[in-house]
Amino acid sequence: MAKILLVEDNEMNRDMLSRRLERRGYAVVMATDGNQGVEMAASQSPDLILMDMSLPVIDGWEATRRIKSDERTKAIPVIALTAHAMSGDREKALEAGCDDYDIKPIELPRLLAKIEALVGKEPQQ
Amino acid sequence: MSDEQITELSRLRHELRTPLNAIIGYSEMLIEEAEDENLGDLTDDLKKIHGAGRNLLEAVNRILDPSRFESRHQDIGAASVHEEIRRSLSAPLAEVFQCNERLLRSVDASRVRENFIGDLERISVAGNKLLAFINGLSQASQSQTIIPQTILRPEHRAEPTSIATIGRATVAMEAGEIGLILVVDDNEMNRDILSRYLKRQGHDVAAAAGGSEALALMKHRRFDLVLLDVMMDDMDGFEVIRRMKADPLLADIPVIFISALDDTEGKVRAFKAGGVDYVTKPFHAEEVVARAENQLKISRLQRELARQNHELMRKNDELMAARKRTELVFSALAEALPGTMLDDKYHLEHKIGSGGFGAVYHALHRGLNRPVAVKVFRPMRGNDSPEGLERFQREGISASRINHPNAVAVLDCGISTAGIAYLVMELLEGKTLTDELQEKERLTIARSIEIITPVCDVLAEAHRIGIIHRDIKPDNVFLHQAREGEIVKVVDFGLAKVLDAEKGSDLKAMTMAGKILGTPVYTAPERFFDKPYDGRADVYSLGIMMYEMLTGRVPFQPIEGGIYAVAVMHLTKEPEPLRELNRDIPEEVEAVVMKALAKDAEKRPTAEEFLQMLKSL
Repeated sequence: MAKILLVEDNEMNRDMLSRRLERRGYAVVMATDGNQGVEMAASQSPDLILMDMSLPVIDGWEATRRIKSDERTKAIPVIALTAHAMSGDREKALEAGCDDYDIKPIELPRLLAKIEALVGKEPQQ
Repeated sequence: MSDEQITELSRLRHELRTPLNAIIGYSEMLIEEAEDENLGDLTDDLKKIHGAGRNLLEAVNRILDPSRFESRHQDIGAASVHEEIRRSLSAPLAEVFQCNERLLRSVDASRVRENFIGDLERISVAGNKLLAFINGLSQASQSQTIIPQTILRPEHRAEPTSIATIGRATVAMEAGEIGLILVVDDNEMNRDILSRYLKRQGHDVAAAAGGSEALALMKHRRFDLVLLDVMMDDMDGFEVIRRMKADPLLADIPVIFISALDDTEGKVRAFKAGGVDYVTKPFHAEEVVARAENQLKISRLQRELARQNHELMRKNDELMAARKRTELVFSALAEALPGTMLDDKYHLEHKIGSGGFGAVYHALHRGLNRPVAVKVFRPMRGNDSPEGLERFQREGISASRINHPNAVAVLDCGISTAGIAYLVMELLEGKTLTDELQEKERLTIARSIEIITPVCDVLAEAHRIGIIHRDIKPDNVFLHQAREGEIVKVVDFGLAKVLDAEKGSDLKAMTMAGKILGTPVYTAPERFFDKPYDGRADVYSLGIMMYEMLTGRVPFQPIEGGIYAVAVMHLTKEPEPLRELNRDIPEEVEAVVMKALAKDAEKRPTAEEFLQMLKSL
């Protein structure tokens, strides 16, 4: 069972996305700010990180930079989630070291395809 | 486009997006669940909600697209953007409400997970937020200002005062206090004893031998209550609760501490950490079980209130839509009235105020050539039907007239030939207590007592003849400037009752008139239930008012969650001691106010008793 770290400060988004991922057989651990996200990336060794970009304490861009510059965590794929549909965000996310990028509101099939591409296909529960 | 406009656009997008995400996300999630769990009959409406949610999002993106503003030469005014939002969002939003309400009505609690209904309710909440936001926009545009930040704060929406009558069916449904309880103790024997006792009472019980294990269990199951040992090797109870409180999904689960330490410091620390109760070891299992069940009861009460609140808001929205047209007619009428004669007796001169019940005019009694105040009632339940009007004519005076120097003198009441209910009172000069509270941060102790005492005196007299005021608040306390000096006058006696069409049901009256009366900031706890209450409910309101005068704020503020949150606070939360807010308040004054604020009406003084306490200060 692949483990996903979801870093998201909005309670509602966290609730929705985690439940939907769990229904599809993923184990989900959650962090509510950028700092906690960086810590949990190291302590939980997830198979993939879903990173909201506008986070308190330190934002998603900075958190991703820290994860990608740490030997222990740099191999973990990160998908950036942003609310902005502006084209510059994609470049900015990739530049920060994100492996992929998606926009909110989440379209689950699209996001699942991106997750599967990065962690290998998971059997449906 | 100016920087200010860019900021404003992005703020609008952000404000709208959160509730939109909730509508789209939760409906999508529920479609998946309905399909997986053979609830095919529910998918139609869920898909409609989802579709409407996407339409809402598209409309928002289209209207607030920054490039659209750049491509035009002239500025698009805030008012036209707001109008466009309102126009494009109304129809899909109505669809969301309609389908969601249908689902909430048809979903059978035995057939779906508990979460299912909770998720539908989240959709309603999001819908209500959007609605409030849109309504706020149109108001803001009218006054030519940029949208005030306060729009989403519930106290700025008119809200009903009672959650009394609607949720009774759900109350009856959940009779026992049975819950899923987590016992956390590293001592195997303690764990075993408690688990067995709780199971015997019919509860579902899970046990954890340490803090980390407990937290892991909480991730997978939604517990109703946690019994938490303080001293554990791997992670102590305080750390466990700290992590629970930091996690929004766990923060609201009540925790009872169990500890071998029987010292005040430990107990204080436990309560400060967010524990709801504390038991010392060696414990009596029966006591722990009783305390646990007590907590389950409180949680149930809170859930019930949440549901009732939801239901009430829904009904309220329906009611408001229906009433809106009558309102428009009334405001047109109110403006047209000055200069006209009422029943050939009263010449209405100019409007001197308007409030929940209608508009008040400075008028002249033609026969006596004496100035009076005439209150013209807006059409509402209780006076919008022939029976209601007849009752008003019959009982209006007796219900609202108190012969007391500190009650406003009610001179006449009637129904005009045009079918408008009106009440004639002595003309007061001056301001209301609300005005005085707005001018000064707080009142002095002497001033507070000077105002409260006559109010209490009138109430004692009113209660003696069987009239409860039912709407004691600073708006209804008038500081009349008479020739001989200031006289405190209480207005609007018994109106809440007389305006109700159905006899003997004051609570319904409160609910129905509630949208107009405002938030239940001054409402006694017992009035949130459909049970009889007496004059001590007025004493509670008096206590809240006195608290506000002395400290500068009411003890229970409707910050978020509206009626529900305030009702729960009235029912369960102790007010912050007055002396912590204002050191100058003497202990005996604080003690008197706290007596009036007793949650249990039986422990509260009557108006007469309270009057004696005030006089002894």
